[in-house]
Amino acid sequence: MTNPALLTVTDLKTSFLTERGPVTAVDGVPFTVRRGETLGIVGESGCGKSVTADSIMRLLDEKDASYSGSVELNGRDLLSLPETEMRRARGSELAMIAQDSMSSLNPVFTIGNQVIEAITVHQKMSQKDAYRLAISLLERTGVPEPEHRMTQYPHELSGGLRQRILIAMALSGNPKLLIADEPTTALDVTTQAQILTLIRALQSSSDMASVLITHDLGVVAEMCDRVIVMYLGQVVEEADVDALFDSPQHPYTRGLLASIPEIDGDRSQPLNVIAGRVPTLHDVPTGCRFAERCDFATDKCRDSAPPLEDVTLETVDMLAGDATPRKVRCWNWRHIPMNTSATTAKAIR
Amino acid sequence: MTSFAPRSPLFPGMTADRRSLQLRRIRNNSQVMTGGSILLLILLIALIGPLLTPSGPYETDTPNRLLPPSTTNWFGTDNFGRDLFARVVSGSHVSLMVGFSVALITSGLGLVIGLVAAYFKTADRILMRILDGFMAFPAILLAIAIMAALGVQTENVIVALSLVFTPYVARVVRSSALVVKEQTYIESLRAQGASAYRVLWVNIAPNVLSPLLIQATFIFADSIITEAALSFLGAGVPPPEPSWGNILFDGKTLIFSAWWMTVFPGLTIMLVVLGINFLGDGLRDLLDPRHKSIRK
Repeated sequence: MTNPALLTVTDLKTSFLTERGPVTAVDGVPFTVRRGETLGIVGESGCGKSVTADSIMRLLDEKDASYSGSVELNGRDLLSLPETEMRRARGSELAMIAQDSMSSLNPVFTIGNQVIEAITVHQKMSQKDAYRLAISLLERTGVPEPEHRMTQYPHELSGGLRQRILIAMALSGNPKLLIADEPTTALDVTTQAQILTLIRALQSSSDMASVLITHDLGVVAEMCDRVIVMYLGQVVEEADVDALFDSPQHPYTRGLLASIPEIDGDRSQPLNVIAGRVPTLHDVPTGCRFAERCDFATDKCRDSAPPLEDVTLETVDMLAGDATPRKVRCWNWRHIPMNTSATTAKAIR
Repeated sequence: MTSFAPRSPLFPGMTADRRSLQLRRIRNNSQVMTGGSILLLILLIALIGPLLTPSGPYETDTPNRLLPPSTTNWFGTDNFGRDLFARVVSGSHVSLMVGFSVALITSGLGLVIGLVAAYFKTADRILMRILDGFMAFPAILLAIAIMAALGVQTENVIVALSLVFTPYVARVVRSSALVVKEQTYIESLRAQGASAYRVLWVNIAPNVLSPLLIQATFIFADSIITEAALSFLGAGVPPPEPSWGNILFDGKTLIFSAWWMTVFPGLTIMLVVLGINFLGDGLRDLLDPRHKSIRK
């Protein structure tokens, strides 16, 4: 794992001006994505996953939203680029597959129109060449009968096909980084599996890195190399995917893993849940943001916010062999008993 | 890739191309058919009408004034002995031309203003406040004021009515565009690096065309009525050029002795507006299936 870093996000903060005052939806998020790597971002609804993605792409309306920190792609800070240059980068250096595949295609144009448009936004070529490239992109993403699909409208296609077409459009500029914001949520399970397989195959054939945003831990286990767990705009844990599932450190991560039902579990028992809900961004707790919902919270947790600290080998000697850096944002991670959710985590893998 | 039949033979209708499917949907829509027929008929009369009249719309024939409808003068004659049918036909040229021009101009202006307002927030604040200002006046009052400023002339009627009705079109376009703008495909498009120009004019604009077309038909009808009202009040098409409004005005004082002078132009206005409204309602059902009115 000595690949050079492709994307380095440092202390990213995204705030919105709202009628009730400014809120910080993403609050000091750091992470790195290396070439060819897949990073998962997980968390509940409203914890800032999608805003993080939109911030990297700078898709938010900059009249209401402001960014700070830095997002370096190949050493170039995207946040300080002028809008015209940022526009050139979108789609060619970094691409995104948006959340909802069912409404991600313009209903009034044919598939061919839209794929060709995606191509010609960045590449100057004749309509004929663009058409040929479009067909080959559709073939690469496993769309059957590409010539026929080119003449169809989005409503004539299934969700899985639309998602393949969106992926084809995202790939049209040969991006180095693909951000997939819940790429499989609107699809049924078999289609999900096909799409995930496709993304992985495309990634390994083109050395493209990806950021996969999801709340589906099964997808994370399947797809990702590393994972960051977000809670209320902050990263609470970062680890290799195996390490995360084997020995989750943060109580929130443990709660997430424990809430996955087991197929052969005891059905008379209620499902595990994390009590309470994500507080609103308007009244962020002063101490640890998770303290209110945490079973292990102490007075210290409620009074002061814990930093995101490194989990080092000396402190976790039970994890010998776990060589890549891990981080956790918790005062008490050293003292929380390990076995609470580890078994559940294994069960789903 | 093995080729399976792209469209199932079980649904023979689907094997036909999309155009014939569209035609069938139009034919099955009774409102579009009724409204369309009325309008076609009126257009036809407007075109061939001048050939059927015994005299021109400006030819006075004082001995034969105020004749009731007969086989020679279908709509009767007015107080100068002019053939009323010829005047109504001639008036239809003016009224339809004004209505059509206004619908066209307001659609163009409304599309541009509405789209810009929907996409750029600062422009939105400025443009919409100006339009609110225009809309604060009753349409007819504003039109009279503009006519008073510009002078009584047929071209100025078009200018005045376009100014009056543009805000209504712009609002419809803006609200549709605001909905379209939030769709995921627009976000995806921006994520592909599309420019604001491409997003707005190439991708959002076609999505607002159907509400725009529907609104344009209603503006067409409204401006015919308003033009008639303006001409009736003497602030519209100047006499002796006939328009449905000033024919009505001529008949007003004689309404008890020569009923035909008000009834025929009145009926014509009603018929045309009815036809256009039918067409507009039918188009709305056709283009926006979610708003489909309940029918058996």
